[in-house]
Amino acid sequence: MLTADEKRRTCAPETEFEAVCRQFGDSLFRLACSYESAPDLRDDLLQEIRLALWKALPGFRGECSLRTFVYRVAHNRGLSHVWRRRQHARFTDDLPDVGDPQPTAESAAIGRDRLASLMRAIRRLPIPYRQVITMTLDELPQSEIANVLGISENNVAVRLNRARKLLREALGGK
Amino acid sequence: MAADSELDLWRSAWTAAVAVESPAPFDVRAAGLRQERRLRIRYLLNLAVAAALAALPLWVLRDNWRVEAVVWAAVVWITTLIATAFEIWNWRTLWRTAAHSVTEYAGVYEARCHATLRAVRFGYAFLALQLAISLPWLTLDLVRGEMTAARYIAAVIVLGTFTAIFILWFRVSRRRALAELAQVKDFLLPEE
Repeated sequence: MLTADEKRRTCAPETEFEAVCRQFGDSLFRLACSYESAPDLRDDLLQEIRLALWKALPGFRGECSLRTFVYRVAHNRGLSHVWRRRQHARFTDDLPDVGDPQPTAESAAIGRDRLASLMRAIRRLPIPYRQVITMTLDELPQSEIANVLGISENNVAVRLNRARKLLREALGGK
Repeated sequence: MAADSELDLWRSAWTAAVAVESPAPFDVRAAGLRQERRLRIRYLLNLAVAAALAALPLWVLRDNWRVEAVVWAAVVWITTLIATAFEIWNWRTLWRTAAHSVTEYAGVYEARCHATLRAVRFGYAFLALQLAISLPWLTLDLVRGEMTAARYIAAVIVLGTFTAIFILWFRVSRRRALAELAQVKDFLLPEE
């Protein structure tokens, strides 16, 4: 018996966009979690990232790896999201900090305190460090992170060291 | 704790987070295929109606060659020809080869929304033309005594009913096309 997803795949050829969503879905979700703690806003951000990818993919010329391209688009969208949220917070003055201390939907769904703590700690990191650590945890090599962010590999290494130090402190380590 | 094992520990926690929700963005490809199927069915039905309308005068004329019947047949043929020509021109995008990229789908989808709006505008104008021809014609028949008052009233009621149905259909089509257009435009909004 075919699953609904298998039936869909047999009926229609998978587009490049669908393949990207399937391949990088979890990474994009984690990336969205690193930029936004509120579940509804995080889903919005994830949607925005997907739309940005959908629009950007036809322009992908293979000048870098697909993964680099996807992360670049996603991080740019994440930055725009944080920027917009900060602009909005200036006027509303009632938004929680990006590092929301309340348990979030993803932690409740997954049910892992360790993940929840890690997510919160990552969200409290300054953005340049946050970007480097999340991509490192997603197993991107430093050269590729440098490519995504448009910085040197040395700079990536420096940011990673600082990010790790801050993360260790936030998680109660030495 | 060794540096790498620390990173591995974080990584194992980090990669445990998987997408629990995956809201799909507006699927323009699926929407485009649904739109295409609906419009093609409507297009073929319209052509079938046009063929029936073109054949009707032949059936009427087969044993009635009065001038009035010939004029009526000519009016039916001319208006049907105009409507069919518009139909074929307006819906040429229906037979465009299948798009391959999402952008192409969105473009075709948008073009068909505009075609629907054009068809609605044409429909209103065509309806007005039909009424401008039919009502005076029926009234002339009544005045000349070729039609009883009862038949005249019945004919006007039938005409009014058809007019109301067409107006309703045009409104629904227009609203739907505008909603689809807003959806695809929202989807295609340039980057902020």
